[in-house]
Amino acid sequence: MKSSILAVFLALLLVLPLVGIKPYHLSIVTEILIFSILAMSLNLLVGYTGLTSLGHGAFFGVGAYAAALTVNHISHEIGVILVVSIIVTGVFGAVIGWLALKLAGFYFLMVTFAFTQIIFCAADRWRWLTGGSDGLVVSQAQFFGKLIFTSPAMIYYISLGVFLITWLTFRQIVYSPFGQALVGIRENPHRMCTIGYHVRRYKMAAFVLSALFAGLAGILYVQFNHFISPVHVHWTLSGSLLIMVILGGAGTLNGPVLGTAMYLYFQNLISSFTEYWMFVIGVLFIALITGARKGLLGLGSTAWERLAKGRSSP
Amino acid sequence: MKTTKWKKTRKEIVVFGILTLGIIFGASVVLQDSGFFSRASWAQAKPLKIGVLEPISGVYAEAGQRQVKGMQMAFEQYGSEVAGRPIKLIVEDDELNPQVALRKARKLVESDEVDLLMGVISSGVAYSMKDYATRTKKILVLTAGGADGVMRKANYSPYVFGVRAATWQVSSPMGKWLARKYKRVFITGPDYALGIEMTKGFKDGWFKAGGPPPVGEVLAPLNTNDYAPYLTQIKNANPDCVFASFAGGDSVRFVKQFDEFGLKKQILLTGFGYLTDEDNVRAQGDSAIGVMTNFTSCYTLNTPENKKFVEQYKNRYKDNPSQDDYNGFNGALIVYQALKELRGNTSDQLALSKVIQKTDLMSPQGRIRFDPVTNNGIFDIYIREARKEGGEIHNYVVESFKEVVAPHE
Amino acid sequence: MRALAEFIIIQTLNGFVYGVFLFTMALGLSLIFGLMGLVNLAHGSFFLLGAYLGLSIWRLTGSFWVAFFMAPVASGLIGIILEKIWFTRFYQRSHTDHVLLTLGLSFVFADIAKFFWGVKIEALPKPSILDGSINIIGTQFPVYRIFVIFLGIALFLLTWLFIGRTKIGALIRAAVLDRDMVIGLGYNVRAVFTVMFGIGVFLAALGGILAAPITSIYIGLDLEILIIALIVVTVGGLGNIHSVFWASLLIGLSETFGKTLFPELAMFLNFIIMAFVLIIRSYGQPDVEEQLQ
Repeated sequence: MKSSILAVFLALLLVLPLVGIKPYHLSIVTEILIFSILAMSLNLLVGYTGLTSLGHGAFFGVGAYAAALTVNHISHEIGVILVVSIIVTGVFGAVIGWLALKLAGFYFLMVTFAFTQIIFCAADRWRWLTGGSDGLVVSQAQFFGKLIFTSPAMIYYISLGVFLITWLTFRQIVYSPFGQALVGIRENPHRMCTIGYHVRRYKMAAFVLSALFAGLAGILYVQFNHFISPVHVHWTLSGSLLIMVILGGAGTLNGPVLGTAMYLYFQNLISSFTEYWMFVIGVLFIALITGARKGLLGLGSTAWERLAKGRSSP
Repeated sequence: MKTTKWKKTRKEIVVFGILTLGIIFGASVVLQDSGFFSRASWAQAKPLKIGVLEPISGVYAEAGQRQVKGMQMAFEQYGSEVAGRPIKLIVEDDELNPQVALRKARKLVESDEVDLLMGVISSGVAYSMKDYATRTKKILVLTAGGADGVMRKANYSPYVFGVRAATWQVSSPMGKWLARKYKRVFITGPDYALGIEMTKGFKDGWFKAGGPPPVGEVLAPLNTNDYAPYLTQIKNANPDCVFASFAGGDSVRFVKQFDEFGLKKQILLTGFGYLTDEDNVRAQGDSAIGVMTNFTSCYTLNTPENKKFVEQYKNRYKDNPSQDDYNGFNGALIVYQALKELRGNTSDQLALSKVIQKTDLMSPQGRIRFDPVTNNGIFDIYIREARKEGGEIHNYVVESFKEVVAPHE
Repeated sequence: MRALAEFIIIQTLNGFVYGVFLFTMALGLSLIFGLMGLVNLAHGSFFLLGAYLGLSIWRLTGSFWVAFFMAPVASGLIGIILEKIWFTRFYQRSHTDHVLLTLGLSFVFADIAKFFWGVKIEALPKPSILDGSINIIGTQFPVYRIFVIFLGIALFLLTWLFIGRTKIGALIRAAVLDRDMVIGLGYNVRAVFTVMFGIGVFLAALGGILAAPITSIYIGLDLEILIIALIVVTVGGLGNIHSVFWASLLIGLSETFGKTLFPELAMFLNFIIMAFVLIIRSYGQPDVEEQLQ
């Protein structure tokens, strides 16, 4: 049942540009896809390993800036951009992870927050490198000399492709022994340790892996947006990401995607309607946290179960 | 027993609520295309739509809202329709964020099909919007976002116009003016693009007028609450004047604390307009008296255009106008005149660009023309002093520099 | 030489004032978080609420002191109502849940504040007896700041005594450690928590109206204060008013001297200090694996 719903969604996503949808709406969906990659990466850390982090804005930003600087100064080739940016993000992920992972809970949250802000301050201050608070206009990337991010439809399909690869990868991870170990660490790290798991190594792996995918989202994003500025490295982006993940359902594969879609679409929609859109999002969020802790997906599956039960019982 | 039942019912309600939201979710795609959610009201003839990007929420909401007010008043005063077509402003919140701004810009251009774009407060947004407007070949009239690099010869775009002073235009004249009378200057300001450019522009004017090297220079992080360490440092350097390029909340705090720590007695405090604009002066009180600034407008400017503007603004909004209102007003005026000349035909954006290029307007802040090399405005700059007269503190013109052109490189 | 000595003395005084000022901002948060274990990201909102309520009360009555006493009390009452409706369910939930709930609340508050008080920056004038400056070693120093120092230290001593030396203080500490035991002993733990929360909000709001004449009141202040308070509480460590006070002084002094000696680092300073302290501290604590060995 579940897989058929997903198949329908996939089919929809594939034909979207061909249905005559406006480029504006297409770009919203593209943005949702890119941020879903980011949300899924955060979910690996928050939902599966149980490490609530405010650091993902930093990795997204680092990947984005690395991609921007590479395409502007080093090479237009998408291959080069990918390699350079992923390596840079990976290094950041490894260093920060190594420093931060001794901590847990609130303190871990705060240290990731500190690192995000340090990177933000660097992006804001080092104008010679990043253009400072004014940001950078980003040139278009090429694939073997040909421009690829040309039309909204092209950008959409490339983003969809990366999204699907990410989704499949995460699906593999989540159902693998590695993924299960992460859940175990979330639930009871002491017991995992007793059984013989090297907890810290698993945490580190999860951290770096999620940082890499966050960076990937950043690389894609600068080609979509043609622009990067320190606001993308700010902790408020990390905060919004947390909301997206929790809203949709942390610890599930599709939750973050749903959460991202809802958050971005609502933010866009409601802010056209009223200047008090933060209030609306706040209220929604409070209602959800109070009543439905597992997020929308959790609600959805509970409702589904109950409907199924109601049908089977006489 | 009762509690579990209540919990179940509550969960049902939440599920139902979410499902309903989902339906609205889907329906909204259709509705948004029809422009239902735009701030425009229903129109009779096909309206001329102007997309306005401003921060309506968040820390700069005041500035953004003032720009919209200025625009609205301009259209109300001069004409709310061209060739029988009503002019509609569609305002979107850019949240001071280039990412959001681009999203909203796409909505305005592709979904709402606006005829042109106006607005912006943040320079970051200005850069990204200039890039977008040039790529999509849409006219963009910038009413703020005055970083020096936005309107240069190197990134000239026929589609983008700057109806606001570039940083250099409101820092260099002060440098020039101060160098005539003072010898020891201390420069300070906020530590981000604005403060850095202001410092550079000020020094440019100061050095060109023969001023000696500054006795000190320090930039404070944005949103500093306590300027005590900096004020102590300034006092230690013993300057006779200070150029402080703060704006917003920083300017309120800095001016007040400068006075509280007794520095105002021996040192002249100067800055650019936002240091003592009509809003901040309210909060600063008597601490603002004697502070000098350079800016493109002046509340008490004695011209018929300005007097009319100030009076009408006060009647309409029960408030004093500040530079953002002037900018919105001027931008809207320029757009209106251009639209009128083309009889509302915006299908050829390059033709619209040529008409706007030829603008020569006597605005409430003086004569406005565009520099053909950069499309940035050529403005009269006023050196103003804050004085208390009739129980109210306002800025008064001490000297003016006519037709200041921003550098091309 | 003398100028240098004067400079150092004044900057130290500045740093000290700023430190105590930071303490008043962080006090409410450290009480609710450190003592009750509830991560309150709406702390900044309560701070701002105190400032705005103070502004309105001042406009109504024309008296700073009336506003100064009434605003925190009113805020405290609002805090108690909120506690009864929401927070009381959250004590048992994880820190992440606290973060999320209070984050949502802070969004809601921010827009409510905007709705009632608008977008302009507002000033709250000092009371006339505290207006003006006095001369300290040839520098003029605002009297109001001296008042802030005294009040801040007084609040520190009062809070310390209250928590460490009174029965209620002991009750709170016990209830956080072992709630059931305290209930078993016959105490109304719920009421105790409610009162404590109310006091925490009261202190946050007090910080707000105390700071208002210096910082001015505007949207966005809540977020700025929240960050500062979080940094102070994190560096100081939880559960302990003492360490929060000393942490505030440390941060105040290092920020003050940092700003003048290394202005390029001024933005980074707080975050570097926080990250540094956290990481160093983490090396003092055993890892999950090490704990089992």
